[in-house]
Amino acid sequence: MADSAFQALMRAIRQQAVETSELWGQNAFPDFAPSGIALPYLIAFWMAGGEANWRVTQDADFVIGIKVVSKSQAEAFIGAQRISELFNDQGTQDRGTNTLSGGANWKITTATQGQVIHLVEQVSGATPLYHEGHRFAFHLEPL
Amino acid sequence: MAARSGNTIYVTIGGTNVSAYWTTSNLERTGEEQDITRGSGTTDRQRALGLKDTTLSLTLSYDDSTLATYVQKLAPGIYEVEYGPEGNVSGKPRHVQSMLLTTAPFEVAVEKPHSTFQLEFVGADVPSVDMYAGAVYS
Repeated sequence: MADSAFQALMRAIRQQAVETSELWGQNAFPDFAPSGIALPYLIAFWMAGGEANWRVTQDADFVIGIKVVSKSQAEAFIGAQRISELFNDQGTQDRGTNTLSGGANWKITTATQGQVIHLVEQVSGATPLYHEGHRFAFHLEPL
Repeated sequence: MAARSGNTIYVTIGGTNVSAYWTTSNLERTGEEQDITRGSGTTDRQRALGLKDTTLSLTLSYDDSTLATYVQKLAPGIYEVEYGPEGNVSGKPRHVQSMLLTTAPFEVAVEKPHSTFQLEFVGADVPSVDMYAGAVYS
């Protein structure tokens, strides 16, 4: 059975996030991090999207937030820039050379960076957590 | 009986089926207005139907892998256009007409919108199959 566009996209994001040595190591997760995981880590989460209806065949548009969570603001900003390098313009129709792989059933045609994600989380009695990243718009078409 | 809102369009240009790339269409039959007002003391304008005409605006998706199969039908020229607003199913409306494609621009932009061709047709001859006369697929 074919995977869904959303499943293919989130898998591709995870692969792209951990395929080389990054400051978050292998700690890249969908939606939220497991309890007790070491900082920093990367989170990718759905913000909007679904079927695109560009054509009468199936296709999809998603807006995904991708961010780094760190105790260090400087580290979080460096992570956000690395996220940009890993994902912006990395669709098959884009100019990037580190193309996202949609797997056996989907191709990710465009990956477009949008607005900044910036959040300082106030944790009682602890160092603030810095969330830095970007919104990305992805378009997918079936293979 | 139901109000139509489906998108099972069937459209061919010069025999090439472009239904898979269709995104929007607007088929319009028009009648030329002729002023035939006459007579002394006439108080109201009188009109008659002159020449009829057809226009078709068609938006087709730019497909990066199959463009070569239909791009030659996007060049200006006269083509037989077949249009089935409910598909090419028996009993459903069918319109076939020789039409002049006058323009088919497409735009790309840095924001990466969906690239489409905006085709503009005008009638080149009387419809050979006229859905407005009740023609349907057999």
